[in-house]
Formats: sequence, C-alpha cells, structure tokens
Amino acid sequence: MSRAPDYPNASDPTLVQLAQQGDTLAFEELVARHRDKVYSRALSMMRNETDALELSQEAWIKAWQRLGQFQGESSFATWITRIVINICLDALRRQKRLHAESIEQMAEESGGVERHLPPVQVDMLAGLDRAELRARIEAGLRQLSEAHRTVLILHEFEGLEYKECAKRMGCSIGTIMSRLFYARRRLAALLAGLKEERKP
Amino acid sequence: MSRSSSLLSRRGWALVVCLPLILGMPIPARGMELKLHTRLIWGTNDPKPDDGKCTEVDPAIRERLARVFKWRNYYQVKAVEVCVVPGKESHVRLSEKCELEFKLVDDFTLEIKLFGEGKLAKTVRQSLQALRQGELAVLAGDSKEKFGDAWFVVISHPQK
Amino acid sequence: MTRETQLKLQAWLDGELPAADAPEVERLVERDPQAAALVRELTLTRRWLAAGEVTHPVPESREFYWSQIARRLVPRDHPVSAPGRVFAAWRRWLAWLAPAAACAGLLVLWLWPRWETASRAAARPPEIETPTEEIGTYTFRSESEQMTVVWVNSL
Repeated sequence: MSRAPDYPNASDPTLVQLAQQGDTLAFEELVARHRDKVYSRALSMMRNETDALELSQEAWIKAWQRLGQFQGESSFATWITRIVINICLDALRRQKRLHAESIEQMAEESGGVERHLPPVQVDMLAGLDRAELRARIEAGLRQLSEAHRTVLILHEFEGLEYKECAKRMGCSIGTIMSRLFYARRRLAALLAGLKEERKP
Repeated sequence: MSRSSSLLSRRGWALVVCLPLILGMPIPARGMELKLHTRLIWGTNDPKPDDGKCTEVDPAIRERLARVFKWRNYYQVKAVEVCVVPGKESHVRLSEKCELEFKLVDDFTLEIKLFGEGKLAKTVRQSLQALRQGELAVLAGDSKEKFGDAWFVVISHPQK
Repeated sequence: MTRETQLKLQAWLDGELPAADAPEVERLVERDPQAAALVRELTLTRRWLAAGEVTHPVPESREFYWSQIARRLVPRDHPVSAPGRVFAAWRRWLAWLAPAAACAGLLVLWLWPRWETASRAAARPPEIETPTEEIGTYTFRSESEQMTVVWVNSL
C-alpha cells in the first residue's frame, strides 16, 4: 500500500503534479499556501473585501480547471497570481471601472494636477522600515484611479512589460506609458506629502 | 449490484420510458435550429462610396447604431443569414478578413467566435433568449484602413 | 520638456527604450536639469514601490475558504481513490438516482417551453461572457437600444 503524501512538507511542484492527477488534498494545500497572496492581489485591484474574496475563489476554481495547462514555465505562485489578475481585470471591465470617461480619462493619460508640480527630489520615506513603507504605498495606491493603480500593479509588482500591460488592460502601449508616467508622478507627490488627494 | 436494487433500477427506468406517455406528449427534440442575421456594417462620417460595394442598412438597425455611436452614416458591406443547428459549428465569412463561427453551447447560450485574418480575435457568449427578444449582439472595432471609421458585425435574430 | 521626452525618459529607466535612442536620452539627462530632476523622481518612486505590498490575510478560516472552493470544483478523470464501501453505497443509490434524474430532466424538458412563454416579460438579462485570456476589448451594453457591444481593439 502506498503511503499518503506528506502534503504540508511537499514542494509546490510536487503538489501541482498531484493536483494535476486529481488530488484535491494537494490542491487544498496549494490554496492554503498561496491564498493570502491571491486574495491580497484581488484586494489591491478591487479595493473591496467582498469582491476580493469572491474573485480570489474564482481564480482558484479556474486554476483547478486549467491545471493541466500549467507546465511550470513560471512558479505556481506567479501563475495563480496572473489568473487572479485577469479575473479582476475582467471584473473591473464589466463594472466599467477601467473604462474611465472624459475628464478623468484625460487626466489619467495626459496628467492632472501633478503636471504642474516640481519633481520630488528628496527621499521623504528614507527612515521608514519596510512594513511602514508598504503601508504608505498602500495608502497612496488607494488614492489613485483604477487605471493608474492597475498599471502600477501590473508593471511594478507583477513585473510585466509595457506590451504585456497593454494587452491585459486592453489599450495601446502609448496609453500604458502615459498612465504609468502620471501614476508614478501622482504617487510620488502623494507619498512625499506634496499634495493632499481628496478621498475617493 | 444486488437483485433488489437491480429490480428497483428497472422500475425506475420503466418510469422514465412511461413519463412522456403520462405527460401526453412526445419528448421534444433537444434544442432547435436557430436562424440568425449577420451583417458587416461600416460606420463613417463620409458619404457613401461609389464603388457599389456598400448598400443601405436596414433603417431600424441603422437608427439603433446611430443612437449609440458617434458616426453619422452606416453602410452595409455584406449580410448573410445563417442557420445554426445544435452540436455543429456554423461558419459565416463576411469579408476576406472577417469570419464568424457560431455554436449552440446549450439551449440558452450561443457562442460567437470572431476570426480576423484567420486568427481567433474574440469569443463571446450571448443569451439566446435575449437575441430572440430583439437584442443585437455587436462586435466592432476601429478601422485599420481608414482612420476614424469603424466596422460593426451585427448579429440578430429575425423578428416575426 | 515635451510629453514625448518625458515618456522616453521613463522608458529609458524601465529598460524599454530602443537601444538606438538611449544615447540621446543619456545626453539629455546630463545637460538638462529638468530632465535630471524628473529621472530622480521616477527613480525614487521605483525604489519605494520595490518595497512591495502589504499582504492581507484572507478574512476567513482556511477550512471555510477552502470549503467554498471545494464545492465548486469539478472532479478530474483520476479522482483521489475512494474507499470501496463509499463506492458500493454510491452504486446502490445510483439504481434510483439515475432514473430519478432522467425523470427530472424529462419534466424540465416538458415544462420549459411553458415557462419560457410565461416568463417573457421577466426575461433573463442578456449575457456576454468574455474569456479572460482574450482581452484587449471593451464590453458595454445599451439598455435603451437592447444592444450588447464588444469593442475589439486590434483587428
């Protein structure tokens, strides 16, 4: 009789292999390991706990369905994160939160108030420890528009190139470059405390 | 399987066979064929070209498009009627570059695949009930050939 | 400084500027204080963002979160081996369940056309599903014109 796998101590690739053969216990272990990361990504994109919970679970279900396609080119964590990003992008698109209108869109792509601000030159956050810095960044990101926040998440946190960001956000590379530029400028101004943004 | 459960099973299946008789009707065939109108329409602010390729769009469709989109003129490049049957994909070629594939996913859902230059560009799933009630399924995009113009693939169910 | 120049500076920092354009941007940063200041700000922002994000724990227990996923998972072709007695019990139930399910199916088929006619007024809203991997499109719906539009960006 074969011994039951030691799920908690198994590596991700081993768990993936078992899950690909239909082992739900192995999949459960993968969920347990990466659920916080997946949920956090959904939360950072949706800014809403209920949506983040639902969409993160949807991502896991989709991952289960597509596990056969996972060949290990990236880590499992990267793969599942990309799935939840796509699901969130679709949800944002359905809610039309990415498809900004008129003035807001103009500001996203051609700059708003930050166009007139001098560039931040001093590292105001130099003394902060990592946790504090992350908390400040999160507070700053929360004040950005959906499109600005999304482009920063895709480019800075997920490491996607302009082209890949454009594909995922459904716009041109030029738009991505503009959005990224003004998102960075706005975030810099916010983090440096130069500009008090109104609460959304 | 034990003998008693086998007997139960036989009785159960007998009920299945008898049910249509009890209900007084034959079992309806699963799914019905679906007729669709597909149109390739050009949206522009320019007057109608003289090349004879374009025709007038059904006024009802044109008005609906014009109320949603910014273009003043809509010309029909091609219109094809298609009959989609369950379990089989139906293909419609609307232009050299544009092809559609239809499939009835179930009794309630129509899957539409849009191919551009032979490559799958988009898959959408449309409620059949909505289509039957007059919904227009529109796939559209900016023209690559002429800046400012747009193409529209309009899919509708023939209304009685 | 034009917007195009600003975006070039950014692309240079992101490693996305074509190699041929790099010397020109480098020269600009050296001689133009405005460009140098902008590069400093962009570099600073990148450094801050490199700290990463706060990880938020799922606000549900492991068991509850998993249970909500597990009930929606479709079993694979090679499920985890089930004990024999569970299988035997399943087979016993199957003797009734399969015909019962078929009966229910027939009833639904029989009733459906009647339901459909009755519920025309309260029709289910039109749905368009778009697979997530095929993006680069916007979907919107005009309620007044009964029209669902999928705008494809690149075709």
